[in-house]
Amino acid sequence: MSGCLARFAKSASEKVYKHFGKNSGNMLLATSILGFTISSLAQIAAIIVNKKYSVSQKAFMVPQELGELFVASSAIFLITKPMQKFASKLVKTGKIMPKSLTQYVKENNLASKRGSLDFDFSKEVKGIIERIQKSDSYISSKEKELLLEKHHQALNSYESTADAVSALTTTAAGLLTTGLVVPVARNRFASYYQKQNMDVYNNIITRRSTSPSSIKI
Amino acid sequence: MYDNFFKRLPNKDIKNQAALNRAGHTLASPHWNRLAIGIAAISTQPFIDGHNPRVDKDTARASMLRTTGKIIACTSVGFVIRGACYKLTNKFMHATKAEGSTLLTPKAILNEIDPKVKENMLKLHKNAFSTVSALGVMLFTNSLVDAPLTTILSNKFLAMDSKRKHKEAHA
Repeated sequence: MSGCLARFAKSASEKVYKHFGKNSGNMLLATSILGFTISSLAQIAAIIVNKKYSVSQKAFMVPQELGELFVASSAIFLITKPMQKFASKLVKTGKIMPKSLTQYVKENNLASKRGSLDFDFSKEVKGIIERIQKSDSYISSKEKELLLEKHHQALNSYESTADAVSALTTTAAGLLTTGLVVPVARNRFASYYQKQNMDVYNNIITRRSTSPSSIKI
Repeated sequence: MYDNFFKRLPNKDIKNQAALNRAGHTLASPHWNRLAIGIAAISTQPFIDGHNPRVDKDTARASMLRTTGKIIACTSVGFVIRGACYKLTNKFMHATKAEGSTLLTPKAILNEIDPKVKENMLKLHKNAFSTVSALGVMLFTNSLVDAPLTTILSNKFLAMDSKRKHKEAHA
């Protein structure tokens, strides 16, 4: 990277970290909506200047783009977020859990709590780790270390599962939105507005053709 | 009602955790995620647009062809830009100088002492920064590349379609 570009990139990275480091979820949300908006506006401009489309087709395609922007942005709050919340709850409460952790849950007397709404696997494991760290009853420090390692491994396994489930849920929500919800909803919206737009357009044309100034002698 | 529904769900064990992690890791990277969304879009959207009963046949056809062109243009440009930003971020953002370049690593992450916290901070920032940098580039490419490319592809598809119609009429 050349010096100037490198300095710009470094400063951009510092700024992104400073403003969004602890809340990347909101940042991703904001960038998605901004991305949709810019893309839709560019597409609308391209439709308007494209001479291959008739007025009636443009009257459908412009609201179709606006509908896509509105539906895709709303879907983030109405579909993606609730799906993410639900999937995160499934992992947190142990409703879904890697097989490697089921033995761990049994060994640590957590099996009866698994799957209940108030169960929080990571909180329980962190509590166990804290108790071991504070306790003096362990014979050797090596034994304590081994025990802590086992609990840390369980926590790591849980966290990587939570990350994977979160990514898969977000993609699944995206597939549902893009593949079904957006095209169906935007077409309904666009069809309604095409009729409205064409009524207005036809009225203008009729008025122009019947106005005295348009009559040629 | 939600509580009751939740209680009734059975506990499930994930047998192949490695496969789940691999799939999750792949789809968490912005370019593969964009490609997955693009594939979903092209497999349903043109069909739904082409069979829209609320508009005349010509509009439905033109809308289907434009949607196809738009998905091809936006997915390919989005995939390339997101992929490039993700690769560059990974190349220039490491936790320590021993691992590689730390050019893009924020000072707060470089100064973090706990290795586990550091790794987590770095992972989150990598995704955040590659997404933001991709958006920065796409502010320009959306209007300078995506939209004109959509028009070129849509017009090409329209020309091919009218040629086909013409041939069918004279057959």
